[in-house]
Amino acid sequence: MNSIAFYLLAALVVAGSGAVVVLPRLRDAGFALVATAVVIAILSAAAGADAVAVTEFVIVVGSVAATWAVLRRDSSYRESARSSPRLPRRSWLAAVVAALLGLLLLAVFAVSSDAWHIGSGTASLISVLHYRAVYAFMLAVLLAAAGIGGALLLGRLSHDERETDRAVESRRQREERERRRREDREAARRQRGGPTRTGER
Amino acid sequence: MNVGPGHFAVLSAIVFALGLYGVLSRRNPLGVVMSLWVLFSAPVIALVGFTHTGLGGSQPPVGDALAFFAIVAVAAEGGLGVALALLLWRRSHNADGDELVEADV
Repeated sequence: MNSIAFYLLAALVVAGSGAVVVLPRLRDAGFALVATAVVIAILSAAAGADAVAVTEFVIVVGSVAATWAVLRRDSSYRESARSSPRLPRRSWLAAVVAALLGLLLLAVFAVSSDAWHIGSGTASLISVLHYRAVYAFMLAVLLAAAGIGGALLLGRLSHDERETDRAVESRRQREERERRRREDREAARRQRGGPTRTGER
Repeated sequence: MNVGPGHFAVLSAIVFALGLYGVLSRRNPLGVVMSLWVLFSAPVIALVGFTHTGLGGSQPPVGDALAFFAIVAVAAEGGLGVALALLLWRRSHNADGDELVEADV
């Protein structure tokens, strides 16, 4: 792999990951996450792992798109993504812990680096998954199914919640209509030159 | 200069540390889930690098299979995390993870 391409992609991955972690607006962080996933997919493809690149791209972009669609569908969810509290005062402690664990990971890689030189393969990933790691593949499929099932189970709305959401929405619309009607009445009074509710002429 | 497994290891460790920092410092549950995505991308980078930039040989890409497994695990974790975050939001209308710990939801 070309070293210049690697350093360029690595810089983009680090910048994107930093943006996901630091950006206060979650929408911006979500865009940064998609961009980072795309760059990691490109890095994987450049290294020769085409199947991993395609999987990474499809799963991450698809998941973020699905999350975005859910947040857009329901107006009440939008608020959850909008309100992102500021970082806690002791975020430096988190930085220290993260840096130490990163260093530990590097040390582990350095110690066990010889064991990882297994070389680039000739067999395709599909054949490995299908013939040699069939249990791992089945476990992955089960894990994905359990994840999707669990997410759907947690995300579903019960009958009561639907009724409550509907009631809250109709109340909001009613209050909005009343507010507009009040403003129109005030404006009409002002045009006629009569006394307004606030006493202005 | 050739790119070796060490380069990917360093990149993986940096991404891991950044993701961990996000998990520890973010207070919005959706932000924590996004940071977890970053954190779990680190092993994918390491596995791909170790598998494809090694000494060369005829072994099958077991690292790719592990990376594939890691990506699926990330997807499952992400789906569950987002669903859990939205469930907490629906119950408490609170986007602060620190307060959610003490909240009665």
